[in-house]
Amino acid sequence: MLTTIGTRYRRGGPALSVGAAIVLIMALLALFGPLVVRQDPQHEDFHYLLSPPGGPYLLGTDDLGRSILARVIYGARVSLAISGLSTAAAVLVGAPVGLVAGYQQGWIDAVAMRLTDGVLAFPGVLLALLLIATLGASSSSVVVALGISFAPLFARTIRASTLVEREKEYITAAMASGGSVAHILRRHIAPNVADTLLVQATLCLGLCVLSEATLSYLGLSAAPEVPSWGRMVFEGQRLLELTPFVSLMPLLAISVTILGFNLLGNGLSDALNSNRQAWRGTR
Amino acid sequence: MARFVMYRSLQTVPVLFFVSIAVFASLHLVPGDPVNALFPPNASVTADAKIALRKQLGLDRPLPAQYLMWLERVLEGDFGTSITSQRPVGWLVQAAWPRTGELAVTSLGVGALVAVPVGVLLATRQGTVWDVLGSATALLGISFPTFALGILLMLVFAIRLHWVPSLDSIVLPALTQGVGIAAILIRTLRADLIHQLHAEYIRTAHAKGLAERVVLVRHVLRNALVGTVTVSGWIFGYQLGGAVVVERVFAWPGIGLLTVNAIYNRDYPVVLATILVFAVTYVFVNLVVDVAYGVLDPRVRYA
Repeated sequence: MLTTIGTRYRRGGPALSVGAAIVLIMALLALFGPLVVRQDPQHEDFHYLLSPPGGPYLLGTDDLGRSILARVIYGARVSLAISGLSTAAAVLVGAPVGLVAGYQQGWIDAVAMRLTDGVLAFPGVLLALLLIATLGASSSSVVVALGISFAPLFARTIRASTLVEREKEYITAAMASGGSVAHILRRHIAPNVADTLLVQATLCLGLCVLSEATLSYLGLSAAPEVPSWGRMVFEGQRLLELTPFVSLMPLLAISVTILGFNLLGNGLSDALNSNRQAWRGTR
Repeated sequence: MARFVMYRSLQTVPVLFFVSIAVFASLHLVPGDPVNALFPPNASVTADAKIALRKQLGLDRPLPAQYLMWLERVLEGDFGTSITSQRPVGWLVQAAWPRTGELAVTSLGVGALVAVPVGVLLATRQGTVWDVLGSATALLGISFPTFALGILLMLVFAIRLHWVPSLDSIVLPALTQGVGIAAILIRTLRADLIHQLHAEYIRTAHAKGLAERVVLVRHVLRNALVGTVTVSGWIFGYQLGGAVVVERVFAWPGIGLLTVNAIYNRDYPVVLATILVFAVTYVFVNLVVDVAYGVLDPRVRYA
């Protein structure tokens, strides 16, 4: 057991270690950061407006005198919470569809795949924009919008893996011994497509961080008073000439987090060596 | 060939149907009376005026009938009137579309100009420091959000170096999208080139004494570019999705900026029209790409 973990870890290469480290640090920052940096992200300190990094405020302050470090840490919570929930929603919708469509085939498969075609006909964040325009801009709308936008990703990859799996002999054996469809899907196919799901979910987390940052940059995610990374970049953009750090700090946080999930996803894919179908990288 | 084009075209019908249903439904998912969504939020509208408008738009009829009426108007190019500007929505879209097209073509040019030489360089030096560095940069490029790249380029080239005279120029928005496109293109091109370099016909070409450069340009690159055609539909989608962001960063008056502003102003007729135009364009471009791929590589037609 330990040796297989060791071999797999080596197969993941540096991408796996670096990606895992980045994701772990970001998660710890989101969970425990506010306990260590005891500054209120909303507190406006008028003695330190736009103070540069390194002073009493480690990453400086914005034009209202708010601590950028505290806001970036709080932003990690917002970003990771929304991305985690969106990915969970996409998995819950997409994975069962992919399993059933791949196993049953026939008209269920045809309908499911045309539906995913329809969702994928909206490039990039456009479907999310349409849904948010309808539901109103809020963090829960973003979760619904991203969940729907990314569900086809799981439906497609899980379907592809299920198609491969169902042709194998142990499935024929399970069918011959009279297992019901639900039983075969749950006990035999699901555990064997779990690797694909794990890789895809990791890459989807990166996509969700990217999309959430884009939507909050456009002012369409969490409420204005909530410090989200994208909104911080946007608010800092007009101060770019004299105090670029106001924009650059959250921008760095966004990029590092996305890179972390991409590296981890690619590393996991190599380590598990199970799926070449998983979609690598983000748009 | 005609059968292939027919078959592939027919496949777009259910997709277009879904797209139109999704856009139509979203108007009816707006909380409250859809008629309210057609007036400015604080406008004083009499109940009679609302009833008249409801009748005029057919909102008193069953949903399937409403859908067909809406579809008929949309196919005639009538998207209604913008709430904020009181202009026909079709007119607004027509005015913004060329600006988005101009940006798309320029950035695609930038992307290709960067990607082809870099892709060839990485593939021919596979496994060297150049390859590792270049591939890592391309991964960074696709991990980087479009707006972040735009802001960095603005900071470096406009604010610090003063290389770009005015922020209205196409240089920075095109560069922002171009770099994103190059990152995607480099990755696929490198993989395709490496695949081609190991093909048998390349050994033949070398064996008959062709110069390295001739082999690269006339054989390897030509065949690798056929594979790149398949990702071009995806790249186009990246551009459409990215247009919303890039146009917002640089205040470029295209269809993306029109969409974002319409969402802020709750200008539903404009939001629905722009997103519908985006999606239909994307579906058609993918159709054209697939047909082009079928022309370039006959094996695809029988797949």
